Amino acid sequence: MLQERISAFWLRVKTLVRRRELDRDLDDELQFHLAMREQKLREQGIAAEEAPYAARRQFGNVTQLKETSRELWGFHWLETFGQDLRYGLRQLKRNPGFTAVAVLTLTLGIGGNTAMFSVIDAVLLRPLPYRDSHQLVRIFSSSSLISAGPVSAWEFSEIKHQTNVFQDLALHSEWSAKLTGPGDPAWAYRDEISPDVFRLLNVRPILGRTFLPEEAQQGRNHVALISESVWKSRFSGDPNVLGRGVDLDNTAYTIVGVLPSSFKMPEAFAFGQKWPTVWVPFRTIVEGSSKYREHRCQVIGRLSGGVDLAQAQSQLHAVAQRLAQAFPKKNKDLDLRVARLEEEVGSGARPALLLLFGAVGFVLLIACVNIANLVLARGAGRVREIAIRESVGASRLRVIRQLLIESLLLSLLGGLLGLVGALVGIRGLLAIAPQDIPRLGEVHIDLGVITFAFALSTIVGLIFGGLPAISLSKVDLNTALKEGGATSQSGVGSIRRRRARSLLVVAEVALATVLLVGAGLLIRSFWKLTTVDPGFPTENLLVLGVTPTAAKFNDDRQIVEFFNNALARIRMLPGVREVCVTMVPPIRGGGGFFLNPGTIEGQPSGSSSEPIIMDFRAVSPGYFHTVGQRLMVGRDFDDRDNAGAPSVIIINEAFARRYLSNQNPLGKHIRAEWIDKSPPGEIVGVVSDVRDVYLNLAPQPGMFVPYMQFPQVNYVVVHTAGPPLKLATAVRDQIWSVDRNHPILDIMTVEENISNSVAAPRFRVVLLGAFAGLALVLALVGIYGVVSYGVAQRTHEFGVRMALGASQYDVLRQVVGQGLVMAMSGAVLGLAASFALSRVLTNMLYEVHPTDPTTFVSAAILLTCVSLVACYIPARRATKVDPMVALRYE
Amino acid sequence: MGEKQQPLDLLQGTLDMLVLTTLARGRMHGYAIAESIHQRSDDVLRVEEGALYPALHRLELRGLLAAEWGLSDNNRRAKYYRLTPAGRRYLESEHAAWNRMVTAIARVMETA
Repeated sequence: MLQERISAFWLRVKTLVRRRELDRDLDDELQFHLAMREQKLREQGIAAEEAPYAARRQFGNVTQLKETSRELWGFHWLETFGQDLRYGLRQLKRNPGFTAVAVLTLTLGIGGNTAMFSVIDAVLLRPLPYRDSHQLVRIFSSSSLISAGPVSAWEFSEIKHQTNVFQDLALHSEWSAKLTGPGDPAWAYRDEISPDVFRLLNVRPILGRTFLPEEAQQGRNHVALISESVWKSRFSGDPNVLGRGVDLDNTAYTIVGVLPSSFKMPEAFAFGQKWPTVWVPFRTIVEGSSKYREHRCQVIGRLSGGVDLAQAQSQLHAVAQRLAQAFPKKNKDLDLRVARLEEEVGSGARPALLLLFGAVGFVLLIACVNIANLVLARGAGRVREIAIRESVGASRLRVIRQLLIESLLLSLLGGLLGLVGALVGIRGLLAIAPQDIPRLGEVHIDLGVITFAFALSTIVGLIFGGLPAISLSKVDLNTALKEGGATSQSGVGSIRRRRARSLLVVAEVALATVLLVGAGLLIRSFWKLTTVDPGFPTENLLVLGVTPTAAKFNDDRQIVEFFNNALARIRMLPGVREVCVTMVPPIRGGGGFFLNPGTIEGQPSGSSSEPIIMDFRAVSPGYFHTVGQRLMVGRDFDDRDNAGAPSVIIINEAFARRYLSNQNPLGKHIRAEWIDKSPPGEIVGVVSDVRDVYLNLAPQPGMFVPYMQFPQVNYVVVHTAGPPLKLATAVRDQIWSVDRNHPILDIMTVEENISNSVAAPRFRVVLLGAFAGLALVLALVGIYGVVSYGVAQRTHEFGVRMALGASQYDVLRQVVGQGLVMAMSGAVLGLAASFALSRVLTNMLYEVHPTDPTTFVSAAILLTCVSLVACYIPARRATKVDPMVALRYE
Repeated sequence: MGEKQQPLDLLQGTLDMLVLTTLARGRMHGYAIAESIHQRSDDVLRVEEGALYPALHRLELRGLLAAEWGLSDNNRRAKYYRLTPAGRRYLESEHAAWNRMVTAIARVMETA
């Protein structure tokens, strides 16, 4: 049996190649037979003219036999497929207008979806570039104060000993450090890692080696691994870089290896990486040392095969509880949590990306509806062609298949062009995307994206081609073949088709409405966000980041001196109105610290002693003036408030309202407790509230201390007379003229800060707005198309009505009325759907409720106007019908 | 395969048998096979002559026949068929089955 199959297969393949020859052979064979039979009949006495016919009669249907044999020989389905393909192409070429519109619509729809998918693929779907990255997890501590914080060495040791779900665990601790050595001072990440990390993440150096276990000890740990980018940029790719030195925070390290630039620590994927990394060994913390119970480590782990996250989590809960019982004071409400790295990375961006993906999917659906309508309209004109084909023997399935192939040709062509368009679209997306979306740099078109585009094109083609194909192929042969049945104007089929087209329009208007409402909500929210008054003038403020590290200066006094010097010099520059230093500049997230309200003098005794986080800054005198915060009562800091003087504090109005209402805040003392120092302070002034943390965050209680008493300042803020960035170089040079050894980073203006802080909402608004606009245009085109086609169909009917006395206005009203009914039904449906769906946006809206009536009403009004226009234009054409002309023709 | 089914599969099998049996006696072209069947059945079996050719092509496809082009008696180009070894083996096995079936039918017919 198999042998037969194989030989049959080969014969068929040969047939494909030698088609013509085989056809000729077949012909010859049958002709030979006929000739012989003819001769025989003549010998038997039949007349010479009669013989050929007699022979043929005896033979049977030659054509059919040839067909049967041909089908036997070749790959039948392949050949008919080829036929359908060629026919479809011809049809498309014959209707260039239709083809162009359809392909363009599809390009936009499929291209948009492909571009969004490629972003989602890179950010959410693609596994991280580690071996079996789905097994990698991060373990962190969680308490009522900090929801995701570091772990202590002690907890790490307990986890290692008390759980069995991890096949590997490693520690690392990353902090910023000043990188000197060859090249300009710059910032880098100094990452202390335990040697397990290399095994865990499966990373191998491109040069040199990784850390040895003994290098975790004090004294042996001044070795370092640098990244490939540092090797290339600061050591010029020196092949003898091993053994050379690099300085971090003025400590010397010897380079023992270079890690490839493709390697990144997991946090770098989630939070981006501004600076290069230098890795040093993690110094083993022994039990009993002061750091043993400090929360300062990040933990990465790999789950054992077959273990799921819930198991690991429950074991960690158990460990945390045991620790809490053993050390109730420190660990009382501390929990240990675990999360998969892959999920963590994308979790922030996921809601917005999925929302946008859904929106662009809606746009594609609307495009499909439009094209389906177009296909139906065109199809009505092909009824006769289809009837002929079915009457000579084509099965309905064959007809459907051929129509589907036409649709697929369109959709695949649209998909191909859309893929090309997506290349451009991706670049545009990346340009406006907020920088905090992780892994944006990995967005590119790969095999997965191409597969998606191909699959989407196929599905789309089947959708918008399939339903019309099924409807069209069901042809009543009788009526279709008669005269005047060329375009089926009457008959059950056409009424069904008309209803189908109307329903499709209702559906697409509903979809467009949903998008409009969504975009409207986001636009209102964005408007409110960007027009919120920050409470201080935001123009002309230049910010430079300068962080002197304590390692360079022996004591605080030197830091203060450095800054005082720098400020004095900057003040003398032309174009500088005012300059100051601060711990955190405006609109940069604020500096927080824990304050126990019980430490505020004048608090009722028995108030809760739970620490709360509040805004906290160290600033120089003149900060408030520079930034535009008003002094309400009391005084600003001045040069008297230096290191030896009594500690002073300035609070803001929110603080005063919250804790010292009905009291005079001036003169009250706060016994602040924080990590390193705890100077109590006397309140000497109150400043106005400003929104200088985040625009959408109402002003929180905050306090300020003079930087001379608390010299942890990182930023110089300059109030310039003219455009801030013009002075950047001059200011920087002034700072360097005091001491060259400070990396200066993050030069920007407060206005830029504000703009960056709303980058994410802006991204959403721009995209959703574009999608909604596109959807509206498509819906408009759809309404126009259906109404216009209806008018063309019913020209005769309008002619009759007008001849019978109807006015132009009556006809207009009829057409527009019917069109509006369609559109309004869709709008109502869409508004109802929006009502249900808009809660998805709740987290993205600022001071706008998901069922905000203004937005809903505006969307409805917009749609009504647009639909009116779309109906009116073809309706006008209906009124121009000359009754006499219309009556004459069917 | 083709769009239209032969109305009786039995007929197709029978025709195949006749063709194979005829070719057991040597190689022939299609016309000769048709003539042979006519003669040996005393014209009882009336099948459209043309129906022969799909059967021939099908059998060739299955590897039971082999074909080659040659010249007929009157110097015309004709396609000659012959049995392959596989075809011969198939004929033998089907012949036995065929005989059994015919006998059974005859027996049933007699007792009716």
